[in-house]
Formats: sequence, structure tokens, C-alpha cells
Amino acid sequence: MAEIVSLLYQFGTNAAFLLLAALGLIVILGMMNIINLAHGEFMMLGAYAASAAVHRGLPFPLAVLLSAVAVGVFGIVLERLVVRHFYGRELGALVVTWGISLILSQGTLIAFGPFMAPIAIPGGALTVGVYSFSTYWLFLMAICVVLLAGLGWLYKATEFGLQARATMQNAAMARALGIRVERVYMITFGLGSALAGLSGALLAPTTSIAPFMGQQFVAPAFITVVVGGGASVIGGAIGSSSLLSLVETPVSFLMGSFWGSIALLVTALVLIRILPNGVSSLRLRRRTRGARG
Amino acid sequence: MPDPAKTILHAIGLQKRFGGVVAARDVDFALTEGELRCVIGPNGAGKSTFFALLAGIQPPDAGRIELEGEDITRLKPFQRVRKGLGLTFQTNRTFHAMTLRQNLDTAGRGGEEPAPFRAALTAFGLDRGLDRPVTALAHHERQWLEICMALRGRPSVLLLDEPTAGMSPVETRRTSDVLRELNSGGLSIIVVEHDIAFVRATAQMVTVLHQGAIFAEGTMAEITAREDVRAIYLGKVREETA
Repeated sequence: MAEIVSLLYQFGTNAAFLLLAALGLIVILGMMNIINLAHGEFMMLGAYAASAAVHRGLPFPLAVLLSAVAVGVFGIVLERLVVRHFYGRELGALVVTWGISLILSQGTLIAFGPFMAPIAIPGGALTVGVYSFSTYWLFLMAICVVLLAGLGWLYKATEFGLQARATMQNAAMARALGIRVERVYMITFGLGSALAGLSGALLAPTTSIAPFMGQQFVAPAFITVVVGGGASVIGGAIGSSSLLSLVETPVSFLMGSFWGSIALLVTALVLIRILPNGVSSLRLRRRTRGARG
Repeated sequence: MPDPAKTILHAIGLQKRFGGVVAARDVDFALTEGELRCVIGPNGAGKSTFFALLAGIQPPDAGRIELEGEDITRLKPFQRVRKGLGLTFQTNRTFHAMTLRQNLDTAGRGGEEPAPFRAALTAFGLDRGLDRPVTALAHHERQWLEICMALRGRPSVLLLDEPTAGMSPVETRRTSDVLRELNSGGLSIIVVEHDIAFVRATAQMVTVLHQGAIFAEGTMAEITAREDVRAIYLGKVREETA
């Protein structure tokens, strides 16, 4: 029994890590099709902001919110000054965001040194049998559900969400319908940045806070979004993180986390080979067939 | 009721040049309220440029465009749409990853559904199955959906670029019927088109473009009676107009 609970907890932790890492990228890559190589550095900025706020006496939840807002504003400024000139030029956007990532990580190293003061993991531990589980990770699992539900609601049920999806699918047509495409891009990039900052701040207590910490998030984030596919970005990310964790968890449990990571990468390769358009293309295919049939 | 004495869309002295090619040459164009006008011309006559200038996709090198008396020359397409211009394109641009309803809602910007929109939706038979994905629609239905999307934004002038491209004669006829019905309800419409059968069935007034300039204007009967118009369609006109 305790082993099953432990496996479930590991599964939840792995899936929550993938989803948190991917959260901002779901919006920026998944919706805007911008390959944001500075995604990890946006998360790093969130972690730095949270650490700075906590060590100035702010409560952790407030520090997390503040970090999200700060990175969101930073993202909007960056979008207006740099990124917007590269819409429709995927390779250009890739190179420019890579440049931004280098400037951010090296700049942070110069400004704040190689380490930032860590944040203690909030909450305590739950014990089941011989296993004990961090309540903070349970909280992170819950917050993932809330954030994804909120993001889903924003993009599926609000006027802004509809206009944003229309803009991402066909900007020229969106303009022809009177949608302020430039504003939609700006807000969407800002939202993606804020979510990356939020994730960075939330994950800050679970890792060491350093200028190059962003690198550990980039690969899982891209794998989650790409394996998820573009047909339904949020649903795809949930599907891919679940599938990837489903393989990673038992392998890590039996053979250690190194082999768990290998299993994750192999699963991603196999999934992309079988479903080139991602996990979410399954759902779209079924829906289209249903409508025709 | 529309006022036939009122010019609702006015283009004055529009000029557009692409390198050495003059795509719009001193184009003066006036659409009165409640009018249904077709703009025709052979390939390369400047129809697409004329559409792009009115829609705001291309800025003119010179000249002015007024919508309901207001200068819109420097406005971007989305701003013109917000001022009352409804647009559809030659190549279908509906949002494929959305349902019909979501496509229509993108153009809504709140507010009640306008009567011409409801009428067109019903007339095109798109009011049933609004929760289908757009990918379940045939080509002509997507074209019709795009017209309905333009109407959802409550336009005072509907500007359509070859709305029947790729349609069968029956579908083309139905498009013509619906557009005439919308026009009889008071909507001002411009259709840029090269399908003469459609123009014959649809237009009250026709503007003929040739080499970027307005070559002739009049009713379909007047236009088809003109020897020189027939000649440019058959490619016989000499370059004296150049």
C-alpha cells in the first residue's frame, strides 16, 4: 500500500515538475510559435525575485506573486523592444531569444554572483508507512491543476482567449475581423513570461538558485510542449506530462533517477515518432471524424 | 433606410506603384449607401491592389480614402474594420482549429447579433451545427462562413475579394442570391470579382479596372454593350491607355 502511494506521489511530482517547467512555454511556444530559448532564464528570474523578496521579509506566497508580475512586466518590455520584430521568423526568434538567455544568465552571474540565498521548502511532511512526502510538492500538484484550469478557462471561455487563438492561427484574418493583433501578441508574451516567472518562484525552494539554473527546466519544458502538440496546447501538455511521467516514475523507482531521465527522453522520441503532431492530435482527429461521421 | 444620395465609401486619386509597375493610377471611386457594386477587370488589371488599398493592407502612395466621411487612409485594417468595413479574402481564412461558433464569436466584440448576420447564417444553412469544427465544412461553406464572420462585426460596407472562388455554379448562384438579399436590406457591398456570370447575376453597378485605372463604370448592360470593355477582356485593347 505504502509503495503504491509512494509511486503515485512520485508520478504526481514528476508530472507537476514537467507541467510547471512547461507552463510559460505552453503559451509562448504552444500558442505564439516562438521558440523561446530564454524560457529557462525567465524561470531563473522568477526564482531570483522570489528569493530576494523572501529574504527581505515578504511572506513566500506574496513573493511568488510579485515574481510573476515582475517577470511578466519584463516579458512585455522585451516583447515590445525585441521579440515583436521576429514574429513569423522562427529562426530569427530562436537566435534572438538564445542571445537574451545568455545576457540574462551571464548578467545575473555578474550582478549577483554564482549563488542566491536559498528558500526553505514551506510546509512539512506527511508519513505513510516508511515513506514521507513533502506537503509542498502536494501543493505544487494542486497549483498545477489550478493554473492549467485557469489557463484553459482564459483561452477557451473568454473573449480575449478566443481572440488570442484566432490571432495565433491566422493573424491576417484576425486583423480583418478587427482584432488588435499587436496587443494580443504583447499580452500573450507577457502572460507566458509571468507564468515562467511564477513557475520559477514556485520551484525555487526545491532547487539551488543560481544564474544557470534555467537550463535544467528548458529540456523538460520543450519536451512536454512538443510531445503535447499544437492541436490543443494545454490538453496536449497534460497528456504528454502524464505519459512521460507514467514511464519515468517506475523506471526511476526501480533503477534510479538517471535511468528515469533516460526513459523520459526515449519515451519522448517514441511518442514524437508515432504522433508527429503530438498527443493532442489524437483528440482533434477523433473530433473531426465524429463531426464528419 | 439607406440614402442613395450619400457616398458611404470614397476613394480619391489613389495611386500605388510596385517598382516600375503602376498598380493603381488616379483611382476615383464612390460607393453610395445601399449600393451593390462589382469591381471587375482582366488578370493584372489592379483588382487585388484596389482591394488591398481599400482594406488597408497596402498604403497608397498618394490619394485618400473616406468611410462615411471620415478619412481612413492611414488606418490599419483592424482599425478600418472597427470603423465599419467588413472584409473577406479570396483564399479562405477561417480558423481551422475552431468550431463554427467560435469562428463567428471572434468577430463579435460583444453586442447583439446584427440582423444581416442572422439572415446570412440562415440563408447559407450554417445556423445548424454551430459546434462542428470548421474542418468538417466544404470549401464553399467556409467561404460562406467567412462572409458571416465579416457580417458579425456589424459592417456598414462589406468588401469581398472573389467570394465565389472555387465554387460550383449552384453555390455561386446561392452566394449571389444571399448578397442581393443582404443588399436589399440596406447593406452597402463591394465585390471584387472576375467571374462574369456572378457579376451579371449580382451587380447593380459595375466598375471595370484596366491597367490600374478605372476604365468604365455603369450598369452591367451598359458595360457589356461597350466594344472597348469586351476588347480588354479578350486582350485586344491597344496600349493607348497606358
